Amino acid sequence: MADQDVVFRVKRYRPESGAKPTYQEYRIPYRDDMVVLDGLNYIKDHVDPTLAYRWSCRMGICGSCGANVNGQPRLTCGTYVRDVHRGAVTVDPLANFPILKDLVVDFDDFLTKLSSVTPYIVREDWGDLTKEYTQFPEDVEAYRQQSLCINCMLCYAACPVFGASPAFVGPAASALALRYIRDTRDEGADERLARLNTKSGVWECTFVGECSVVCPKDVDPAGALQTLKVLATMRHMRRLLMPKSASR
Amino acid sequence: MFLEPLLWGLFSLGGFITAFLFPITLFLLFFAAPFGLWPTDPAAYSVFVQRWQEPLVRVFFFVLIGGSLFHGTHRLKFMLVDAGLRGPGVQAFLDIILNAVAILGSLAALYYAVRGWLF
Repeated sequence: MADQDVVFRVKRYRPESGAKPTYQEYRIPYRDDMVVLDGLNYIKDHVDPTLAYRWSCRMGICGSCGANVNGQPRLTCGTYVRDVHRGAVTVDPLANFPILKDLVVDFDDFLTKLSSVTPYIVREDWGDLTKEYTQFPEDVEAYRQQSLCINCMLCYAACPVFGASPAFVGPAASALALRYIRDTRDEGADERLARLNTKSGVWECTFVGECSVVCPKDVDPAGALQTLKVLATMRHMRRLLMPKSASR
Repeated sequence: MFLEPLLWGLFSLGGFITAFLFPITLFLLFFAAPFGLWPTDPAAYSVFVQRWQEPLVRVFFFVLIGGSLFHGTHRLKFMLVDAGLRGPGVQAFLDIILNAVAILGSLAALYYAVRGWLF
């Protein structure tokens, strides 16, 4: 039973109205075990059915429900109101992305960047597909951390470099590039590093580190970006000094 | 020619030098020697001059100064960019000025390192 209320200040943007985004306040019943997504769902179900936001799994796996909660990029399904409640819970759409409606942002730019680093296993010759490509536990451990990325894009919302230079390939796409570069079954490292060894690639990163701070899966994109800088530098120098033998 | 990987490589190498060699050098020359923690005469300029004749000592100070300069200027550029000095023109200007400082400083260190040794 609710014995007190909590105020949600939610950013509203209705493009059809032509008006600028504004905040709308909702006073809803508070429960000690409620997460921010529960609050948004309550508003949608009982107060204002016009509120638009994304969500799906409610368990921190799908990466759909990201939003800026009291100024910090968070998964709303994993953020308890009791942890962020400072008089009111302010919910904004993820920063650094164009808003489509209310808390729904446009991810097309991220998807283009993600596809540019070929986030899948690339092989010249797949050989006999009825046989397994054996990997030892240490081979899996090499890319396991980066493979935990759920594409929630909190890292992009936290990245001041992406905010100032939208061409920057960004943290999640870089982390996923490293995930496949480190996979022993993959042969596409050279093409990925060629894409990342550009002005809008890893070199835009100034190692602020906020991407790793907000990552809900401890992927450590900032660390991945620094590793990619080392790999890109080695590839670049090999091509300069030994152009004939330069490959992976 | 795309120079960013080369400059970042020098920044990265300089980071190691700045983090490890620079504090040790500062400690030895400015604390250990004056306070008697290092068995040498703190006032003996001649001791340093004598050591300076050894090629390894010259190489050490060249690497120390050059590496620290490349690391420091690159880090300063990152700080200025993060503070809001952005835009293609501004960043190109910062690149030129700060890399020029690192290159000229390293060349000066190289000149003093080889002077009296190679010429």
